[in-house]
This record gives sequence, structure tokens and C-alpha cells, in this order.
Amino acid sequence: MKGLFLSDLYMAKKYCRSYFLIMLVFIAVSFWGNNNTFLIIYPIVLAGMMPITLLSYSERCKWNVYCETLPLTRRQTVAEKYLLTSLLLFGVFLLIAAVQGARLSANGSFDIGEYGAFLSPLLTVGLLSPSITLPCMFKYGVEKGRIAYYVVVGFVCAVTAAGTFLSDEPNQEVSIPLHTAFLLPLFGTAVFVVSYFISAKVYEKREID
Amino acid sequence: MDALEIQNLSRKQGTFQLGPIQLRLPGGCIMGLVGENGAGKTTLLRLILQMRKKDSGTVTVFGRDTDAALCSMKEDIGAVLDEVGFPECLTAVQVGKILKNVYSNWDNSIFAALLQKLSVPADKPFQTFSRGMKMKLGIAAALSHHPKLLLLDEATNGLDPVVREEILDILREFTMRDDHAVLISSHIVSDLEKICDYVAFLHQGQLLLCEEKDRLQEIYGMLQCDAAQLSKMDSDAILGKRISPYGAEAVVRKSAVPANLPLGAVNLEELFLFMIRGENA
Repeated sequence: MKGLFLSDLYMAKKYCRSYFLIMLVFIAVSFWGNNNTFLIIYPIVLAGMMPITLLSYSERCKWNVYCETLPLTRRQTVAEKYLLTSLLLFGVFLLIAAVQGARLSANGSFDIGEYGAFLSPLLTVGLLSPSITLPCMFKYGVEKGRIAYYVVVGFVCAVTAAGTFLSDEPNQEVSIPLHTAFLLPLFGTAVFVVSYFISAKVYEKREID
Repeated sequence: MDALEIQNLSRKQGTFQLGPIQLRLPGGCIMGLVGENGAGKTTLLRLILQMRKKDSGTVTVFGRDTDAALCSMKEDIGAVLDEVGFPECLTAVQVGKILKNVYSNWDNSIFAALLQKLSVPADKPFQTFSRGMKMKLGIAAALSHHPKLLLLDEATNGLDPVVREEILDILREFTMRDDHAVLISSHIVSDLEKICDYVAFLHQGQLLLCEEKDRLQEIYGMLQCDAAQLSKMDSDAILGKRISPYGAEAVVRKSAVPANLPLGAVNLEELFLFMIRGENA
């Protein structure tokens, strides 16, 4: 699996530089963005989608086909993508959490309960996007699976934009009860784990050409 | 011990039926899988690697059933598919670093030596390589983890004669050991004729024959006579024939040819062509 990580690392270095740049710019701008939801959510959605981009490059150059000749199981191939996704998600999540914590502290409005309630849906959204998209990619391949990718990205963008647009006070902190704030990431993690097992199962059955 | 043994392997895909295939590749040998485009060569190799699902049959590699543990057995298998699928941004050195973390017995010194021997640039991205260069990198990668069985799918097609000869030399060297074997598919029969110990003819998904190359040349010959003489021969002894106003040519079983008729040697390409085209070669 280490070899697969390394190949993704090389590909990410080459093809995903713009992703990293966009994420950093959005996260940095969100410090001054006065709680703009889109600026905060988009980087984490992007982080969750990066493995899908890598999957797409793999399929285009037939690396996924070559991997079939290597002493790797399909389950390992799937596990590597999920592990990579979770690492990217948590990395970006921690960065956002740090920047937003700094922003709230700088504003003098830091409240641990509100801070947790604000971050929890963020992590959940990050986990749910690849949880839906990855099984489609592993089942149908990148070409057909990409439809799920656009649907998820479009949905997240539409919901955040609509939320901001329709809200009376768009810049107000999101308020979620503490127990829900605690349960949301657990729900997201559970969906992510179930998604892994679905992906592994469908990919084991798929014929690779 | 046989390096590869295939028993009753079959697969139906739409209207195409592959097999059932029976095939044995002894250790220390190279077997050429010959067939026209669409004959089922790639399907067969992909079934061996379980990239496609079989309908029935068994595949054993060095006596071990691939259904049991193909993943670990791939440590002993080197494969080069018709398209070498390395990520385009990678250099040969990076490919080596990745595969070092995949194969438990990866040998960087062999890989480096092969890159040098085959003149593969170490630091150029894969996307800048010609088809021949890509194939050479694929072969270097397939040979650098001490494999025992090589599976090559059209590995010499589209390459210039110099590169092809280099690759054939490597394969010859590889099979000097009795516990090494190669199954190579190609429709360039002349290449296979140079290196193969065994030949398997695949036509429309069916194995027409699988025999030692030398034995084939002992059994079959090219008969050149006139149409009348040919018509007197036992039709079962004729594998294929070509009749023109100037005479007749037929690939025949040598044992069935009367001593007075001129009988020449038949090469693999002629044998294959006459076999698949039968009456209309």
C-alpha cells in the first residue's frame, strides 16, 4: 500500500498543485471573511475530492490496470484511497479549525461550544462527499462516476450558497445543539466506513480493462 | 514442475466464447501465444491475472492454484500488458521507488542495470517516452523483482527491429533457468519463431494447437504439387491449402505424404495462416 501512496503523492505533486493553492487561499481569506460559509466549506470539499481526481488520472493512464499485475489486492487499492482521503480531510480540517479558532480569538468572540458546533458539520460535509462519490467511481469507473462527483459538488455549493443567500443574517455563527455537534462527525465517520466496504465490494467484482 | 497449467479455462463475453483452454507451460521454456486480432490472447492473459472473471476452469502457477492466493503469487509473476500503464508524470526512477514499496523482493540494482542496458532515460517523464521506450521500461519493471513467470501481452508489437531483438535477447537469457518461464502473446509470428520452445495457436477463442515448436516442424510440412495430386491425398492430412492456376500449396502432415511428392519445411507463420484459413489459404 505504501507504493500506492507514493504514486498518489507523485501525481498529487504534479497535478494537484492548484488544488492546494486554492485551499490555502480560501482558508487564508476565511480569516478575514467574517464567517463566510462558502470560503470555509469549499476547501474541505476540495480535499475530499482530490483522491477522485487522482483516481481519474490513474484510470486515464491505465495505472489502475497495471496495478492488477502487482501483488496488491483490490481491497488494498480501495483502502489506500480511503486512507488518503481521510488524511487529506483531517489535514485541511485541522488547518481550517486553527484559522477559525484564531479568527474567533482575534474577534474576542471565541466560545468553545460554538466553536465545536461550527466545526462539526464541516467535518461531516467533508466526509460525506467522498463517501458518496468514491463507491460510484469504483463501481462505474471515472467517466460514469464523475456524474456523482458533479452532483455532490453542485449540491454542496448550492446548499451553502442558498443558506448564505436566504439567511437574514448571513454572517451569524451557525448554532447547533451540542449533542448534535458531537453526533454529526460520528455519523459522517460511520457513513465513510460503510462507504469503504461498499467500494471494496464493488471494486472486487469489477472487471478491469 | 510446470510453470503454468491451465485446465478447462473458459469465458463467454457476448457472442465471443474463449475456450475451454487446456495448456501447459513447462519451466525453462518460452511459449508463444499466436492469434489474429480478437482471437482471445489478451482475454486469456487477463483471465490468468484475474483481471476478468472466468466462467470455469483452473489456472495453476508453479503448482499453486491462482484462486487460492493470486495476490501473493504475483510476487513471482512479471507482467507487461499491451499498454504499459505508468502515470505519465513519473520518471523511471520514481517507478522504481514505487515498485520497491510494492514487491517484497524488488531489486533496485537489477532495475538500474536494465534501464542502462536498454537505454531507458532515468529522469525523463514517462509521457515523453516513445512506445518502444515505454515497453522497455515495462519489461525492466517486470524483471526487477526476481519473477519466475513472465506474462507478456503483445510486448514486441509496434517496436522497431532493434528494440525487438533486444527484448528477445532478454527473454532468452531469462529462461536459461529451469524455474523460469515466459508466456508471450503476439501476432508477429516471426518474433515468436526465434525464441519460442512451445507455440499455442488461438483462433476465434479456441486453441487450435499447443505443441513444441520443433515437434510442429517435425509433424507438418509444406507440400507443393498440382491440384490433381493434392486431391488424391487424404483430406484429414491437409491442414490448409492454396490452389492457383500455377499449382497447389498445402500444409500437410508429413507422415501422410507419398515419398514422390516434394515436401518442404513449413514456418510458423505459414502453419498458422494455413490452419486458420483452411481451404482458402
